[in-house]
Amino acid sequence: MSWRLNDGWWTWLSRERRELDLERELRCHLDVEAEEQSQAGVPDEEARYAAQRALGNATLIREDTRAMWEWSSVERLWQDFRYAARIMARRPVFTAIAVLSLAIALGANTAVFSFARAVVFKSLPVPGAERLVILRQRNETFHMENCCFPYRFFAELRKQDTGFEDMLAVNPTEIKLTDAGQTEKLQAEIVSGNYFQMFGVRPAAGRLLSDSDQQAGAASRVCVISYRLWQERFGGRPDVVGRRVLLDAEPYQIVGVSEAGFSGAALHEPHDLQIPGSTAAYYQDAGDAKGWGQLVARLKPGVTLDQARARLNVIGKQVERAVGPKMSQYDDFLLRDGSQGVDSKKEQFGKPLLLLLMLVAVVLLVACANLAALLLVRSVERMREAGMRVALGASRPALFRQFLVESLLLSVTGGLAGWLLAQVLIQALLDLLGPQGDGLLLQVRPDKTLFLFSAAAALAAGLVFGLLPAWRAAHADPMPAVHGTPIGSGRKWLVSRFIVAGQVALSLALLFSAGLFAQTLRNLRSIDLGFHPENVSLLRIDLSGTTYRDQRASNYFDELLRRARQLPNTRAASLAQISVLSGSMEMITVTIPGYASPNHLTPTTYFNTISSGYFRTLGIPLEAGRDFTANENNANNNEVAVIVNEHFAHEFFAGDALGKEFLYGGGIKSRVVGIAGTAKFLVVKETPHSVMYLPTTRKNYFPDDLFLQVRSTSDPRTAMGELRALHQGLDPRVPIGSIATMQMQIDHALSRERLLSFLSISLALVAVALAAIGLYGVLSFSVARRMREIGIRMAVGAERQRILSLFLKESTWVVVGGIALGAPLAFLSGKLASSLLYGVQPQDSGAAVLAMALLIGVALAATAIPAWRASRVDPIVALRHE
Amino acid sequence: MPASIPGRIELLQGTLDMLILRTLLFGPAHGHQIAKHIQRTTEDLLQVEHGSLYPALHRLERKGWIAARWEPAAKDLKREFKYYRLTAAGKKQLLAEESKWKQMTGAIARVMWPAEEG
Repeated sequence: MSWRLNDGWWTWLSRERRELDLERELRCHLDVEAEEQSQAGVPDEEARYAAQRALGNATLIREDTRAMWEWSSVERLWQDFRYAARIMARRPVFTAIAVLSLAIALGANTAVFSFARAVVFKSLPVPGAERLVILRQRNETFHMENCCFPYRFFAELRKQDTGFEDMLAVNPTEIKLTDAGQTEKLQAEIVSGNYFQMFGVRPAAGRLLSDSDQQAGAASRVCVISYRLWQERFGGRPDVVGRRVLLDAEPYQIVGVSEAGFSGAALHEPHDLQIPGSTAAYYQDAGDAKGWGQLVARLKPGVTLDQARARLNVIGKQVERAVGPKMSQYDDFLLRDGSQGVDSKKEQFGKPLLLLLMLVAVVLLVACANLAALLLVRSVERMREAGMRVALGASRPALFRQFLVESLLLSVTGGLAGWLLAQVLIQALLDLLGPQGDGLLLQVRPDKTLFLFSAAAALAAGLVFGLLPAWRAAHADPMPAVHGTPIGSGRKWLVSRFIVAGQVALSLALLFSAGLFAQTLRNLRSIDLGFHPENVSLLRIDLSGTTYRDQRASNYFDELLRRARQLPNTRAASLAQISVLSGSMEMITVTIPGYASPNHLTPTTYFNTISSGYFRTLGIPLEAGRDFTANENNANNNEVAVIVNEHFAHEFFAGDALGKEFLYGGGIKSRVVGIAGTAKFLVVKETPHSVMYLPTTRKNYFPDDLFLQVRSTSDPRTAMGELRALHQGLDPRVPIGSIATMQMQIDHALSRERLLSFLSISLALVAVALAAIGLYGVLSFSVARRMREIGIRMAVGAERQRILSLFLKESTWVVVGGIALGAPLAFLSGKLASSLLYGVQPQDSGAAVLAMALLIGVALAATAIPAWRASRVDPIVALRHE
Repeated sequence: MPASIPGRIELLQGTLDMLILRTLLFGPAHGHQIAKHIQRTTEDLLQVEHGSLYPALHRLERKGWIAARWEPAAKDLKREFKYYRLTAAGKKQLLAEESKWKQMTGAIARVMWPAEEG
């Protein structure tokens, strides 16, 4: 019915008019009634009152009448919001504290949640992702887990009847795409032909790959690009299908675009291009490291992980015996969760992120408790207002609603500010994670779900801290308000003290865990690395894909090194295949005459290929023997000169290794020419490990991917600039792999610990600041409320000291209670974090004492001001108060 | 608030609407007139608190049973009152309520005074 709609519309638009209308109508009524009364002989001023009595409770009538109007519930809410906004504006300090603390807490929650969701909760955007598994194999010889298998093994295993529906092979790689004269580096995947079919991905344009592409051979080089690359690089043009491009300088044809949202087999590392394995000529050659791929399988429905693994351990080993690779009978297959595809960051960052999510939730709780305490205090203050309104006929539900709307307005404002802050925090977290965070970029971007989470958190927070004060206001007693007696009984005021004690408890837990993480980071930083990372800069150059091959590549690196050594500030420079603590390593088997392995396994060692000057560059002491010469092994092909670390010498030669011979890599003869100090190699936390160093100059070895390491007296930023210039001067067409200082590299290696330490400290400080504000607010109110009492006490001769101690004692109980409550919480949080700690016990007493001391200090400062103010009160003024 | 006068009957819930509609059957009236009319015709037996009239009037207006307009008073053209009048829908509603009320009072009467029936 249209007239009702119009009517409602009209009401909505002319709220003010309708109010005026009602007022006028009531006034008319009173006028007529008064006239009639006076005509009946009632004196004039009496008549007016009689008319009012006859009408009844005017406030109630107005409220009841308004309730009859269309849209009135929305309007009432709107009115409440306007009223709440006025209240907020009238108390700018309180409002600022409330909005700011909520913004920080909600922003931190949103930011950490976006990471936790990306790393822990999300899965690959493909059907049946929850049944995806990744095949691994234990490798006892090298104490590691094999991630990759040769193509032959994959092809053979796929033919067998396993617990898998299907299985694909994928090998992530970096590739240079050249199109229309422009070259760009891309993350690509070399995949088996069934890749898209198994993932259930549909084409957005053209076609995807199929098994026939796998068989086609080098004649038809094809590739598929991602929707994102299609849009960003090719402008979404349909003619991209069939387009010819260069991949690593080889001609390829783009045959299709995968559907939007799909970015390869790794959730946390987007890949924009897929090439079938055969055309890349990779999988055929099992000898080449690049010919191996990771295997992702989908379990048959109803088959459990354990059943599939048991079956794989029988069939997989049969296949390995038939087609390789050669593995020992003890090397069992493993199945890992593949719902996030390959290279998931869940293992490394899942736990810390969940822990952080808990920490930020606690901070939100502290912020809520803080606001609840402050609002309770204010609701006691505003009891008079509430009571007066009840006396004037306001209904209790209306009061409840109005007070709750005030809280919700605070939380919504805080939530919006928090949403903006979260965008900044997400970027800050990405920066903190360094290169580790690059792949997460797409996954942590704010979207609808994240906004819903943020909004829900804000509303929930508003309810949590708003319900109690609103309930309290709705049950205001009108009598004290009417009589003008003091309000807020001791019992009611107790609740806010409990809440502040709770805040103190949670803050203690946060401070304590922050202390543990800070101590962990400090411990890791103070570990003796066995070398001196200061003032070392690193330039990585990858010549693969350039025209520098073999001897020319060697010459290029020699020239680079020669020029680096000529820089005026260079103290030492060298080349190395592996940069220490960068997270990569290589292992190799060794055969030592007269050495019996304590277990049945072949002994192994880490190894690195280095130029002369390596030890001087890193500051690793050469304990015995000599460094490599500038052209070590240049001519001699029969025996390779090696340098080993002390640990190697002790493990395999009982310390006496110099000049000794041994074999490595299954039969290459070598002789120890030097013994270097044992330094950290793969990770900061590692126990000493044996390392063997081979010379870059050895015969028939042509490196294509090396680090230039320079120890310089220039400051790190300048040093990096010098390296960049050096590279530019040599051949600017060669791309820079990476450029960094050793210190940055160590920071990256510790990114998880730095993340935890930095965030937990920041969060704990926020919580402590909030607890201090809560304590200050609640005590300030207590002082104001007891002004009359203070006056009387002073009037009868109480000393200022006594008044001071009265209030100090009051807050002492709150703090002591909070600490007693917080201690078990703190130790619980330590227990939860124990696997992330290093060199510090989860019940570390130092951190506990420090946390308590800090908390007590801050609490003392927060109470001292109001308590001191109480002691300075002039009794005359105090007695006149109220 | 006036103490309730002995002999007065509290208005039954829901009957006020019907009384208002019935009153407006005579022609447009403003709030005070409606209140007075109900009071007078029931010989002051029914106590209508004047205030309770207004929420009811606004509710009936919203339901479309009555319509309102500010008009000059018949006696004194300088004064304006908000006059309510019955709409077609309101008349229909009044008939429906009336027959419902008759049924109810009839039913109650049959229970209370069975002899008079027979």
